[in-house]
Amino acid sequence: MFVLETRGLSKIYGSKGKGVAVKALDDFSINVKEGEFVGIMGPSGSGKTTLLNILATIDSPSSGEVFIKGKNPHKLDKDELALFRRKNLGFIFQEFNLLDTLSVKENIILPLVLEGRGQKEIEKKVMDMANILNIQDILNKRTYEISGGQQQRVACARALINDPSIILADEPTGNLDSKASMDLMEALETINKKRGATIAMVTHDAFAASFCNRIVMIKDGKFFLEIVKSSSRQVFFKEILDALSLIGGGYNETI
Amino acid sequence: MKLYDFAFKNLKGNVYRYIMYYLSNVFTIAVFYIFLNFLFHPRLKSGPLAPSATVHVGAMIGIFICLVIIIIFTVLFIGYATSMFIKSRGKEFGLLSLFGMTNRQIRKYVMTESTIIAVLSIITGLLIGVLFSKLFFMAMEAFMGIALPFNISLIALFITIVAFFILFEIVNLLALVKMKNKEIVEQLKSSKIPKELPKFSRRKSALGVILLVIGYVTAWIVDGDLVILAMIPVVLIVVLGTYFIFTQFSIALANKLTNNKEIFYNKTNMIAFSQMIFKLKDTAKVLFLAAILGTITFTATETIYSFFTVIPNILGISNIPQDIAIVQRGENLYDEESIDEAIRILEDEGLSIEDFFKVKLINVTNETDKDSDGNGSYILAISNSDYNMLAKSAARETVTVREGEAIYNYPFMNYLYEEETEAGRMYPYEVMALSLNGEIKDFKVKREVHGPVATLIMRYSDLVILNDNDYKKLLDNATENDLRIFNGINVDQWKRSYKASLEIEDMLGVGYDNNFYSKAIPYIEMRSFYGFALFLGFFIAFLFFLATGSIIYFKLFNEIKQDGIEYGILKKIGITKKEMNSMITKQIGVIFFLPFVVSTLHSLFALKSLANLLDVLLISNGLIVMVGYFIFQGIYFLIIRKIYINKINELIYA
Repeated sequence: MFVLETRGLSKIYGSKGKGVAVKALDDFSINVKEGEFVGIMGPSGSGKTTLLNILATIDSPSSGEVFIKGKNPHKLDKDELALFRRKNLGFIFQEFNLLDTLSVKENIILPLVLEGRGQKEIEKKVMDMANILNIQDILNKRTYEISGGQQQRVACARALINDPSIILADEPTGNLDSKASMDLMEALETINKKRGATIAMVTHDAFAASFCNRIVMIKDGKFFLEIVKSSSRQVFFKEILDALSLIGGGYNETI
Repeated sequence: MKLYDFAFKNLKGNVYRYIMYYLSNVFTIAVFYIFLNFLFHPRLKSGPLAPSATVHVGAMIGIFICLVIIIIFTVLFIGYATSMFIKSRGKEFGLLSLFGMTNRQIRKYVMTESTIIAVLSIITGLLIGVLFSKLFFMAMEAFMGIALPFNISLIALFITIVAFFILFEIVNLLALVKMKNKEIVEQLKSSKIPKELPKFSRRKSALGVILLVIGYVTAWIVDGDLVILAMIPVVLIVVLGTYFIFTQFSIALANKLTNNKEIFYNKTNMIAFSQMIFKLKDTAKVLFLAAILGTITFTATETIYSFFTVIPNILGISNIPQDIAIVQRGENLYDEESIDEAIRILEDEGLSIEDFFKVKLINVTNETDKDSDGNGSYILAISNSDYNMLAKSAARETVTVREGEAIYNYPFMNYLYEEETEAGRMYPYEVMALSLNGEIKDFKVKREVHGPVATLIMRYSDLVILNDNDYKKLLDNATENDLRIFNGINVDQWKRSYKASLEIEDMLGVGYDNNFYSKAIPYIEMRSFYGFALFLGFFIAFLFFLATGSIIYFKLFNEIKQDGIEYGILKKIGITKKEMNSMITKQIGVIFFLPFVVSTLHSLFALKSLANLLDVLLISNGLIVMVGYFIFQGIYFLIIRKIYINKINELIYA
């Protein structure tokens, strides 16, 4: 059973006779099974972020279809879409995107509160999340009192708390140092393995990508190649680096 | 590109920031010009005075006071707004210095911007002022009763331009001098530093509540002349209390709400309340000022309006039995022509006569009640049946007097008077020796009744009620000089009898000086006086409203980019438009209506206190004015909410 299915996605920017039309995505397809942890990689301008935005339903494709749990969200109107996101998707962003006016705990429970869930359920779930992500001690702090790594783990907890069908992560390690990156990726691995959460992550970072089960490479908006983890993470990391050298572009300096 | 173009472009791009500030300036300048244009109207200098000199001078002084208030207020308003604008632009100034703009240039740039706003405000303000001058003149014509042809006073125009231009420039310069020079890095970061959770002191919030309660209770219970004594302490206590309510208690309360999970974990409440704490903190001082200004204007206009509606009570008109009274005496004693003419004038005005009383009274001397020189006092004698007739129509007690006895009628209400204990008795003697043309007869004073039964004469003279037979004997002895014929007229709508009354007064001429009275004359004059005060009061109230509203507006919109980011995050997580609008409505609603609610409460207690002092009921009328303000505030709120929501949508869907 695929949690996420896409068919022939294309996105063209700057059309309608104005300026130069750019194809950010060109007949791209990706399918994600339940419980999978998929990485999407590609050089700058390859269309990764466009893809993620379309999957996140905050952008719509020029052609092609997206199905999340068999449902096409792009056919919904704006408000229905908002509710769809709240119930079916979890987000982790590069800039954490926590609300400064709320405490850590309040940030985590936000999706549940918006859904109007009962207090007992909220309390239970937040404790669950905090234990998995090891953030019990900072629940009552403000967002500016905790480190970047902690902030990103809080964002993970928020993404996960309403048991979404799929978690979409956009460069989650982009703003973190190596230690915090490691912690975060381990946390994502845990929620993927222990809770069976389905995760699709866009990343630049081969190290972060090595935590995934499968990597899909994208170049100039098109599918480039796919590698599946077969043995240890260290081996997978090597394989990813090799693939990146193939893809070229912005990766030369990373290696 | 010159500095000027740069400044102009920046203003254009930030129109939504400055629009309310600009509009309040325009309104202030327009009102200022309208008032000044009136003061300089040639008709007021050369032409004859208005029918009533008091009204004429009163109008000029009233307008002048308003002009002074406007100027003082404008200085404060512009000063506050400008320093607020400058503070909010730290990041922009940081960038400019980064690109190599000197401090001098930055100041010049800011100065150019404010000058553009000033010039635009003055031009639009004057245009609107000129346009609405005619309307104002029409209102003043109605009030003063003189013709004021449309006129544009060039002196007024000149004074307005120069005064406001200088005012704007000086205040702006002062604000710029106070501008602090921070490190560029600090300036650049200034908007990115997350705000700490606002702190509050439990003690101070409690103090705020206690002070308010003390102030309120005192205002409520203190009675009579003590009100004047208590006034200044109560005002100080309430102002201080209000300050703590806004800076401490409001935050404490919002904090309390966030701790109540039932309320806080309820859908959009969580975000709305948590953001509200920050917004309250940012706007606390402005809200405090808005509340105090609101209290002043509410109380002033409510008081005037209340007086306006209870004028009959204030003037004692409601106690006056007949609407119109004419007394015939001396050479006019048998002048029936004038009485008929008066009735004809009333009927010509479309009024119908409901009652007409003609009562003959005899002026006698009371030898019992002597003054220091040993002369008896004058008193008017009325027959028992005449008295009862008047008393019945004035809804007062009728009496029966036996022969040889008398009842004393005191023409005012003495509330201390009690029939049984005779406390507060006005006539201290047991007998009354009435003398007329040399004959003296003693009457036993059985009792006394209070309250007037006939208009005019009774206001100046006491009455003695005699048995019809005694009265007849007295009448036989009286000469024409001793007689007074009282004509009392009731019409169906006395408030409409003003014009007719003036005509009758004219017709009767000097021969009837002090012998003619019509309720409508003092009533209408008083009413137009209060009406005028109310009219000016609403102008000033509107000005305060707009100005404080524009500052609150600015405070809200200053942070809109940050809010846009937050709503952007929420949008990604998934909130519907409806949910977002509900959050915005809750937040702006609180910021907008909190000062309003506080001002309303304050003014109601102030009114209660005033009512205690003056012994009249003011609160119900105050509430009517409140409703008016509430509607106005509501419209203002809806407009700002709309602009805010549009702007947020623009930011998150960009």
